[in-house]
Amino acid sequence: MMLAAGALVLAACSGGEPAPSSFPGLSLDGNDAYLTSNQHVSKFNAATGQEAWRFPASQDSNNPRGPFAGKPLKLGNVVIVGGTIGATGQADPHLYGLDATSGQEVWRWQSPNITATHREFVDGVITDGKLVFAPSGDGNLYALDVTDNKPQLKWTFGGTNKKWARPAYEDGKLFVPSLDHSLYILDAATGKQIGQFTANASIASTPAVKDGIAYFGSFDRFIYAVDATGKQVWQSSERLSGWVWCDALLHEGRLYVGDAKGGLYALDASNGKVLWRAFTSGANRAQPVVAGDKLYVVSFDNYVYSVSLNPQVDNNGNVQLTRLIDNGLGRRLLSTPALHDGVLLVPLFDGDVKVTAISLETNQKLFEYPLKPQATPAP
Amino acid sequence: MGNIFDLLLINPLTNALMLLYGLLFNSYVLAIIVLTLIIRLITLPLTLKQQVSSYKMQAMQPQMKALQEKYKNDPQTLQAEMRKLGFNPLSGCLPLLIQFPILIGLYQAITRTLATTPLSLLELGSHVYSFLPNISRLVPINSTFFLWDLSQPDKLFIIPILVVVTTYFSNKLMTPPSTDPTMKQTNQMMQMMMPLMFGFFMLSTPVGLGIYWIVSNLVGVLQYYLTKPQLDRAKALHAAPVAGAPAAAGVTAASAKPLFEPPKSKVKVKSTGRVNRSSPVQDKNAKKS
Repeated sequence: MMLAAGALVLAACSGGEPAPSSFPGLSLDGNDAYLTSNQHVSKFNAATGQEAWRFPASQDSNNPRGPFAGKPLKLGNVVIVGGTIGATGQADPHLYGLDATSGQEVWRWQSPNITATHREFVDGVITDGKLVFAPSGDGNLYALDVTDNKPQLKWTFGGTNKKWARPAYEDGKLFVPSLDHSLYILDAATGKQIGQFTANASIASTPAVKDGIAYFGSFDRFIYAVDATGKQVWQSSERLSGWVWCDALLHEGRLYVGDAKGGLYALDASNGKVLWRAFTSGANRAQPVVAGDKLYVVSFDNYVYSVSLNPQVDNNGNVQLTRLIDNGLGRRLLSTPALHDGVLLVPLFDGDVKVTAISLETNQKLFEYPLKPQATPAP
Repeated sequence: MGNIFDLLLINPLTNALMLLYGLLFNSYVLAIIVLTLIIRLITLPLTLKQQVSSYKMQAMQPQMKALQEKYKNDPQTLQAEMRKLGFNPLSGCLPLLIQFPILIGLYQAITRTLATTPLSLLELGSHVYSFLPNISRLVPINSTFFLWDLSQPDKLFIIPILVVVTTYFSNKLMTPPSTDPTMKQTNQMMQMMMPLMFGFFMLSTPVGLGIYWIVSNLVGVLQYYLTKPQLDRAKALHAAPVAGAPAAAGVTAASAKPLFEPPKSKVKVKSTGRVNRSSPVQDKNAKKS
């Protein structure tokens, strides 16, 4: 029994992940970078790493805020972020509106579905310019009017399982992924369902949408192209190596997407034919980024990789990736980097460093956010 | 090391759990119960070996005590004599040590498959077998069972209480009674503390794990009752014939036949029902008497 107890303690300790359990989110607005990372939301200068504010400035145990996750959305002078679930199961089920200048809380909103166990906002929110659309762990998609900083629920679209990915918006339509295996197409103004496509497994990534076609992957390891009625246009020519939890990137007629077993694939967006594949040694959850004539991808294995957009493909259809920094960044990389003036800002999943800035010209680290405090010179 | 552990233990258990979930009408509770039974069945020889060993050690306590007293100033001879007696401190621990990683693996498999957070779901994705594509259709696991969400701690405290009760009774049954007062006191303390400790853990661990623990305890109790006659025989077989005391009542030459662990060649069962050993210590004891 002692051994059993020891085993349980050990398992609890060794198996317990570090505090963060949802993916950080980074978005840019000019020189301003907004970041959700575990217990904080922060704003920093994308060129220098200088922090402007951090929310909450201090944690009130009677009224805790966070953890936070997902891509922050700046709407007017308000930054909207979602509370998420923590490693030990505690969750913050609120959406927050923060003053973009000061980082002060302007409003806070929670869904009326207060009895649901899962109410987290894992991936942030999007907007069509009028309403804010918030997918929730309780299975619903909420449409809010946040005019005058008074959030009002306009409509709710239900579902049978968690919605852990932001929807995509195009031309008055929302493409809403769900872990219940379906992609729902809704009228953004009313929330009325227009179409539905059902894959063979969960859909946890935000589709890339262009000209009425949504491109996305599923845990069934296929990539799909679906039109605005929910009709399948194509399915990828092969199964990927793992679950797809990576937002597909559509660029010049090609689709770039990673999978949970380290695969990175390029597909022809017109027919779903796999053009080439490459492999990292960790899950590829973050959306790839194009800069110049290169594709950049960050991986769970802590490395940042690059590959030419027109790479040398071997007879098996594979290409080689190049590591940007030989030793990697020392942490798991699960969130989509942001590109700012030739610098790749890479969010780190855990650890003290939240973002590493890498110059794509020199492939060297420029700074790490938060900046280390300057040593005071001795008198 | 972590990768080997994943490859050999956690991944098979994770996939087995999900496979069972699919086969058993998408009931995660049934999947846990069946997997627990399978694991208990696979580890049955080890469990029995460990139990027999505990009983054997307990039965040999008087002899060991006598030896310790006799050779208290000569540890080397004491060690040699203890070995001759059949004393092996690892024989009880080794089977448990082998079960140790299984327990950790199962804990990991349960928490992994329940995947309550985005990170744990992503990690699950890298551990499911590609050659079983239908498994991915089962995700996310339906974690609702009766009053509970299996992925969350029990706010009703029913599961922690059941864990405490079943652990207490299973512990009480499994621990062989001791004649040594110190050992007896330690056992009593353990029998109280361990269930409380497990109950405490269950306040913050998913209900699914609590269900595994309860089922495991109940199976252990059932297993104990089914194997009790054999354990009693093993105990009697190794009971100390100090001062020519008769072996345990009811142990005849026929019934003394070992079932799990063949006795060493030193053990000779006579038709009188007495168990004699060729151990020099016992011979000396017998002569003294």
